[in-house]
Amino acid sequence: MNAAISLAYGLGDLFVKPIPIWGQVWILLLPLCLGVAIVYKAIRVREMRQLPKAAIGVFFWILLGMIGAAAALLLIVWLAGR
Amino acid sequence: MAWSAEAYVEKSPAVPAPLIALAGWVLPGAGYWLLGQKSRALVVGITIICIWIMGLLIGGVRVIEVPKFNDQGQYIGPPEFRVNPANRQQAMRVGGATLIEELRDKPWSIAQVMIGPVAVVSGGLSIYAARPADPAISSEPRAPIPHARMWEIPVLYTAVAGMLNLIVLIDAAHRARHRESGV
Repeated sequence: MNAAISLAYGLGDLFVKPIPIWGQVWILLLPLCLGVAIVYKAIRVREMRQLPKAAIGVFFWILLGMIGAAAALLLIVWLAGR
Repeated sequence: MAWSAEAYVEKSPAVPAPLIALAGWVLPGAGYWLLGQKSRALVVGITIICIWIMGLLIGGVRVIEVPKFNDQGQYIGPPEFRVNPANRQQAMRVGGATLIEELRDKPWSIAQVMIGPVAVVSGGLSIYAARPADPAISSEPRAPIPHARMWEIPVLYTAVAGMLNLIVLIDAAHRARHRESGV
């Protein structure tokens, strides 16, 4: 019983404190992009067996778009700083 | 591949589109389930709920800001006015806020609530975590509010989860409508 209560408190604690990933926040882009790609393609595909391939394709397109946007913003900042 | 309504007409009882939309709001993916598209329902529902839970794991439950409740988890009442002592013909606002003002301050809560009762329960937990464990001893809340990126990113996660569920329930209702009209 005590172990179950401790486990519940431990799991609850996960939802109380922010995870310590300062400096590595870019990693958090990946699960969000994957989630968006899966849901978007789950709506669009005719047969669900087409989903994994289609979702991975969209996932990489989103990442490519994000990298492109980051590069463009970096260029603007660099040009503004000259 | 382009979406085609006739590809989705399956052998399951016709359910009215508003009911499909409501079911999709109550539980992500439930709209597709009622249409007989169970694998689509599971994939969409599990993914959306996982995005939501990841948001809460990243920043903690206090990233959910409930309109009409302040940082200490106390209810914000309607606007209160008092007579301005300097000018007796003028009313002076001394506190409170309307729901519209609160939604203007926390617009992401509109996107978050699209995920349904999950957002309501998370909001309740956020209010609980905002209150001190024992007000007689300390005014410290049970859980702190995350700051900077650790606040922005989870809010993005939860708002995206809500907006994805909105897209999903619109799509499910659209399919139900096509089935009703026999397209």
